[in-house]
Amino acid sequence: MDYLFNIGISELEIKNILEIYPNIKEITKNDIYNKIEILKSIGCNNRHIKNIIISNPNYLNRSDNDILILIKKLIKIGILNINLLLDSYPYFLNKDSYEIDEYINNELNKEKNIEDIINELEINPSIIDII
Amino acid sequence: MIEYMLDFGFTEENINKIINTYPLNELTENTLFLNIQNNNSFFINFGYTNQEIINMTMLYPNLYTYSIHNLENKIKDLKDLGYLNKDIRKITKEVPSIYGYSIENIKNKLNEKIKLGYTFNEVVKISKYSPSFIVSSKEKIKQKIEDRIKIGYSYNEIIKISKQNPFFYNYSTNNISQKVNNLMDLGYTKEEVIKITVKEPSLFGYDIEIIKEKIRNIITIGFSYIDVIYIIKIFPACLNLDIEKIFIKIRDIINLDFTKEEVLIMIKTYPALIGCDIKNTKDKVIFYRSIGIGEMLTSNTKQMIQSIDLSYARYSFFKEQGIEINMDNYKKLFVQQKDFISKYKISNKELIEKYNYSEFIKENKNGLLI
Repeated sequence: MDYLFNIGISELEIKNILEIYPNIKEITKNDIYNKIEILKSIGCNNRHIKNIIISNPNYLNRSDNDILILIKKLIKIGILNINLLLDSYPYFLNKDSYEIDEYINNELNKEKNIEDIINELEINPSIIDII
Repeated sequence: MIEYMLDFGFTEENINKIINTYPLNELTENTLFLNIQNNNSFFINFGYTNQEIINMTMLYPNLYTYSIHNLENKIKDLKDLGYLNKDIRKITKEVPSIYGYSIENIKNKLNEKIKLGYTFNEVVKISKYSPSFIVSSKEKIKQKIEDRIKIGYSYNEIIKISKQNPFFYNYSTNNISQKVNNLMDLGYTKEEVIKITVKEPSLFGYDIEIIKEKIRNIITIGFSYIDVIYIIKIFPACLNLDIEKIFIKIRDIINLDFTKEEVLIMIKTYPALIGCDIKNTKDKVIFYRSIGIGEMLTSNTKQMIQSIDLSYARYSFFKEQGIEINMDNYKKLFVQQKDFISKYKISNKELIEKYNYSEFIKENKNGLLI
């Protein structure tokens, strides 16, 4: 958990995270390190990372591979500031790449154009979770 | 030998099972006794308790046919695949027959799962939590996937859920079907239940009565049943929170100088607020109030989703341009990037580099003065 302390997450906050997702106890140091590095690689600073992990501890439980594919997808569709999108809505990291495709296809079926869909997603990423 | 085994914790029934199991029943008593003593010592040194060793050997008495060298090699093979000692203990306690698998056999089993859509690391991770996953045949897993597709999940959703909830394949089809029906009985459509459980696969582990109790608890805060159903639909992770944690979060937001009624409205409008880092929420509240648009926090709570870095940068940009932001025009802060660029010829990236919120808070530790 040292890496979590290093980005400013307190002992109490870590305790809260473990209460919600006890599985996180099983996550290795290396897993946590990788998750933090992935966020840094897209421009997140420690404040963003702290916000993301405290708001969405489940991120630590995700597959690195799925997260990297998700980020590639966001880059591919033209999201310019992924760090801001994730700071806005940390739960976006629970999505898989296929869910982005599904969302976009659903919106295209509503006769929206792709540019508008991406812009809407960028300004309010939580719309992907509106059922 | 009998005395040793009774002292170790085996019952007479256990002992009978061991000495009558083939090929242990082919060994001389001396050889069998030596194997039992050696292997028990080895297992204890590796970190198993006596009872765990008894349970393992009852599931798989042939453990006493393996030499120490053989067991050591098997542990090394598993470590080479990425398992830690504690993982190996956990897996072998549930599936002791793994000690009898050749490394090629284990790799084949892993590869079968990879072909289903997992990475190597994901298979290893799932099997750490759900050891039977590693030894399950591909036919068995495929059948489980087909059963879940019949319930209404897509292939991708099933793979995703199983990565988040490694026990997903352990639940019976009836159990999952029942869980879906139980959630529908709460007032959701089937499509909503599918989406909710994909978002929060841990819900499969909750008894429906626990979920109902959580709903009743959230209602006591001041929400209606319909509100709670909506909140769960949008933010099902709230079911992972103890009611005390939700109370604390609400109290923390009230302490930012809101009434309880305002906080309830804010959460109804933006359910993920329950899960947000309170420090981040506090920064946003202080910032928007400091620039005179605090009223927006309750009248248009959804705008709180925007990263404060961007709000600060855009605000600073407007201020530099001589444009004062107020409740009549605050939506300028939240327009889509393409509209912002086309009107003001500056991207979000350029904005946040030029007007850096992190630097701003470093310089204004005592109070977010704009």
